[in-house]
Amino acid sequence: MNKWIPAILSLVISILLITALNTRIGSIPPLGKFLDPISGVWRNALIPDIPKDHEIRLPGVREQVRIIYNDRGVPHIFAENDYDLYYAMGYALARHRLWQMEFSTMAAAGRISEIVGEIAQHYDSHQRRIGMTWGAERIHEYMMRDRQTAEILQAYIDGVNAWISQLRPGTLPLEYKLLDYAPSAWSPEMTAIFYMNMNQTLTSGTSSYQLSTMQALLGREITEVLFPDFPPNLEPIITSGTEWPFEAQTREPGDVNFIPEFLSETVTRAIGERDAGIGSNNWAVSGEKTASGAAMLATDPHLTLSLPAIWYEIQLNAPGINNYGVTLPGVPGIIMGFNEHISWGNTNTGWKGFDIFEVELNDELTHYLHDGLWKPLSYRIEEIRIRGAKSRIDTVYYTHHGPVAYRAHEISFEDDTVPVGHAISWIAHKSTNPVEAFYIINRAPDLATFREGLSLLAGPTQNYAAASINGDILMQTNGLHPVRYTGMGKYLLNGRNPANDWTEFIPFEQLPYELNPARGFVSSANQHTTDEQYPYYLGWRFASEARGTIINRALEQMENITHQDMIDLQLNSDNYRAAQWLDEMLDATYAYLHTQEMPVNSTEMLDRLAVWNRVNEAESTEALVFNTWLDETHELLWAPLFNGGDKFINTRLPDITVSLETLFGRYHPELYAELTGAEPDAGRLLAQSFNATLEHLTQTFGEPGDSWQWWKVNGSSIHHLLDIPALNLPRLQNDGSSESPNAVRNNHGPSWRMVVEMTTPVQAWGVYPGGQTGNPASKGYTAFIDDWQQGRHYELRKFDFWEQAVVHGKSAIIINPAR
Amino acid sequence: MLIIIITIVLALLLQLILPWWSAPLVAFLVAASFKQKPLYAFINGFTAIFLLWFVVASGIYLFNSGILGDRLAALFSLPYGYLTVVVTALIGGLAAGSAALSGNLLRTAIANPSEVLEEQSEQVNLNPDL
Repeated sequence: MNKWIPAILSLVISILLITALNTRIGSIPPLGKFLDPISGVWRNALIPDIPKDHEIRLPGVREQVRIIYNDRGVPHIFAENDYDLYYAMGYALARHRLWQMEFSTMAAAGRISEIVGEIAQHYDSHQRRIGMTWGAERIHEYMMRDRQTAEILQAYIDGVNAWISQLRPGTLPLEYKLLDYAPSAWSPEMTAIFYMNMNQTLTSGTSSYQLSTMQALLGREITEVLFPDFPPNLEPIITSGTEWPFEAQTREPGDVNFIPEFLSETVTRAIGERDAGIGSNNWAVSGEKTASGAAMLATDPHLTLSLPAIWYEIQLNAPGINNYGVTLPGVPGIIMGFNEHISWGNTNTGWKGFDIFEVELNDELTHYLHDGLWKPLSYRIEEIRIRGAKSRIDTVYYTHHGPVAYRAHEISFEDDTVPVGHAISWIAHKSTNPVEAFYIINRAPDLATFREGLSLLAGPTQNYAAASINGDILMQTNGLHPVRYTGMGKYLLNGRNPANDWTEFIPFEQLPYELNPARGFVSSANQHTTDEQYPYYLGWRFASEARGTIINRALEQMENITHQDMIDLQLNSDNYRAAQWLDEMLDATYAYLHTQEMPVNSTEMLDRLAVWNRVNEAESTEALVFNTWLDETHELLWAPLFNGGDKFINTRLPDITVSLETLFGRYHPELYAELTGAEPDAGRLLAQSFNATLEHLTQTFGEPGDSWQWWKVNGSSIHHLLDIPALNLPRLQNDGSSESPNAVRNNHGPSWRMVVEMTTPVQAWGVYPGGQTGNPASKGYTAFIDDWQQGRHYELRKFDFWEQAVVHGKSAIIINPAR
Repeated sequence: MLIIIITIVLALLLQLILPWWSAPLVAFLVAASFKQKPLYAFINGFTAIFLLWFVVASGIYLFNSGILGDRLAALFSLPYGYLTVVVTALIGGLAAGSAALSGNLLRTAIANPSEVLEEQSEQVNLNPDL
């Protein structure tokens, strides 16, 4: 009988062991299941980057669809009708990027707790609080009203789901195995939430909280000088002096000196300045300036780089459409690219449609104060499902402005953007049909039709550069821009006063726009869209003039431009600040040193800067020293302003151009004296900050020498969406800076570089950092990284018909309708 | 040796249609079907699945030029990519060895005392190499 004891003991231990190896514990994957070489993670290394030739039958497909893959894994889809086209697109995207598609929509919708458990619940709650799911529902409902859009969405979904349904546990993408979950079916709501995701990335930035803090500290007038609507050295996107032939709508100013109650209180708590915004470049040159005589377009959106890559290359060919470009995994249609008539690329507008209103709710949370009346507050119940725990129910309250992100006395998840007790008005909450917009854009035979498509897009608000085969070049701002009184939205707004409400939007026809300007090119780099002559207030916070100035000076001088010249300009890593101010900085520093006993511990380094080529090269010591020096000077110049102040107050430093001009006494010297007690002593400040620079760099990198290289602080670091070190890339040794056209900066950078020459046939070149497949177990995951880093573009071959594709393709999938 | 081969073949076949735990399940069933000393049962079960998983994972590791192996090594803080193959095989082996031991002990418990003597003599023939 006692033989049963060891038997049962051993059985229990075995079962516990196997259960443990089948369970995800903390962040450790279920080890047995995960490492199983037959259907665990090892199996993912057998998934080919480019599928082999084969023929299949799939339910739903109406006629034969053919997908040919080139040697880089780019699918060229040839379909006979729209349904089949978008079906195959969904199918192809899911093959390479299923996990990314689903994860990014779940992240946008605030559903990460479903995957990782309680640790994500505050993040998820934040997404619900800013109305991500609410906005997605509105967009979804609006899109589905259009019959054609509904069919395209259905086709895309059917394609994605056809791919999902043939997956087995062994062939699930690696990340599902790592986190131990499985994909659910794709739905139109997920595409809608993806559009919200785009908007969150591109249009949810605002500094009104910071500016209101500055206003509370310094008063309105001084804040306006330090943070001007139109800063010195302005280099607007639309040619300066452009006249606007229309009568603009006007509105009465609201309460312009408003300071929200919470800022008047003494206890203010928030964190430091947010990182500089996301930037991009695009430009188009007319045929007069090119060697071939055809117009040319260049675009490179700078985004937070990630793996799997943000973009996916694809060609769509069906009756009425022959388009090549990049798409975002999750949406039908091509976002940036070219057809046989036009090419286009987009950059973000510096100013965003995201305003913050202080609101007053009653204690019972049934009403809020507006226009002297207590108006009913509506609410929405958000259920946050949590893996391994009970769901959490969160209530989000809505005013007519939009959702109240955090009520007073709550704790805000991102307390540097939206303070508590405030509601958000955001263009992402407005009804729009991006599917239809890109449907028209992808098929546009000319720039007029292109603009028509663009007019349907509420957001993201961007500047589209476009070129056509007829030689036309265009710069067009799109999206919803509220009609604002001057300064509206620059600061936190009083949500009780109807004079601050969002009412009208600038009509599309009156948005900044430029067709075939006299200078022979259009260009944008997130700087001010227009000069002061544009009759609407477009906001104040744009990217600095740095990239725009470098690009515009280059384009003005260039003649007989070839596509290689365009590529070279995309890779330009000039240091704008050094070109403009370094000589003056050195002169002032040397002059000061001559009058002082104090020796700079390395005049040698100053001498090196004097002869530096002023390019942000990866290995450059001078670039590292200069850029650090600039930061130190920036901080030191304004330090007196914040002395004795609460470190945690959500403040903001004036921009670099304003700061450098202030330093050299050219920008409101009297104001600086008034604020700090003395006019800036450039020489002393520069010498001090130079010493601090050398000290800091020595601390970090040791004595000056080979270890002092710019890329070590600025080179690209491209991380997997989960930011698991094993799936990230080590920092790349690349040139550039956020203020160079080659806008490489840590995890930000050119996410898709494309150059298109509008010859017949159209020729194009492009590259993005990543690879077509999102499978981290494969070589293809990082296939384009080296070429992207070295600035080598691939030729983008658009095939006009199937037979041509077959000759150049690597493998083909023939999809037949299931009987 | 025969027990190891039977375990490997059955585990491979079953793993093609069932999840990973079919490997220890096979080890359990095989150990429950053959008479062995408990220690040998563990060693045979362990060896069979260790070998199976080691060979398959090694093959994939080489085919894949170590790309995945290096990522997994980083994930589990191992110094070399190839060690992930060893860790994989160890985990499979441990689960299978433990299951095989259970199978063996259960068989002994169910069997009557007279069979226990036979089991020991048979053991030598089945595992001449151990």
